[in-house]
Amino acid sequence: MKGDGTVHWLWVYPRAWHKRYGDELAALIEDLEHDDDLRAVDRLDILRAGLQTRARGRRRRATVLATTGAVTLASTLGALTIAGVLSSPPSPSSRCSVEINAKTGKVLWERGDCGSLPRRVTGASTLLKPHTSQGSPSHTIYLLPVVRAPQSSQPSG
Amino acid sequence: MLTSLAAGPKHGHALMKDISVFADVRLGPGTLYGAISRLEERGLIAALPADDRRRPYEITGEGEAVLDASLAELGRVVAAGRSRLRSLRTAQGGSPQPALHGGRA
Repeated sequence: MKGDGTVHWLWVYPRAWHKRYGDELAALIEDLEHDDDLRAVDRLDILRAGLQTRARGRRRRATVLATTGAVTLASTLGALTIAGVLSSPPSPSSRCSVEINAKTGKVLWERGDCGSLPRRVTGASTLLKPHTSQGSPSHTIYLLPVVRAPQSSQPSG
Repeated sequence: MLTSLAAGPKHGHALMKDISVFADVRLGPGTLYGAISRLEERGLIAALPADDRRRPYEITGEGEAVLDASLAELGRVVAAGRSRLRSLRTAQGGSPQPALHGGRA
């Protein structure tokens, strides 16, 4: 059974594994060939173990990819949530409602936490019915903070 | 494999021969090196400088701890097995006993 080329079967192993253990396994095969102790079942064992190692590497890569994907998705969702894109609407206490004069844009009154933070008009505000206040047509508009750090808010008016 | 390396560092061929002597199991070359790579990855064995292409391996401290724990567990199983076998033989050799509680004699 000497020199029947069994060492060439090591191609079934992944490249990294082959680089690390290939020489040693080839030396072991040569030792067994030298002792006339390399059996047919050993050749099958080498093939089976090589394919198993390759499959394990693929599973590990798939796990790493899945983990990386999950972490990336979680990070993206977290960033979007912090930016307020996916956050649930603020509670009423964090809303600021103002009534403005439809013609002049003058603020007639404000209610809620209307701090100095930058705010944006919510889509819901456009649904509010216009009404008349102090003799002029006006709208009540709800403003929501664009970015809002957690804080206790108190109605200002 | 850890048991074999507990007797001292060995390369692949020496491991194969030693295991076949004390465990009466002949590991295939692929199985042997699959185990070597996994044990080295887990830090239970460590490679020593290669002698030609034949690299010897030694058991690590962590490997010794794992071997110790495995042997203790095996010891408990062996002790339980022996104890139950003794009881069985005693029961078979002694007076017949009812198989079920409440059985009629």
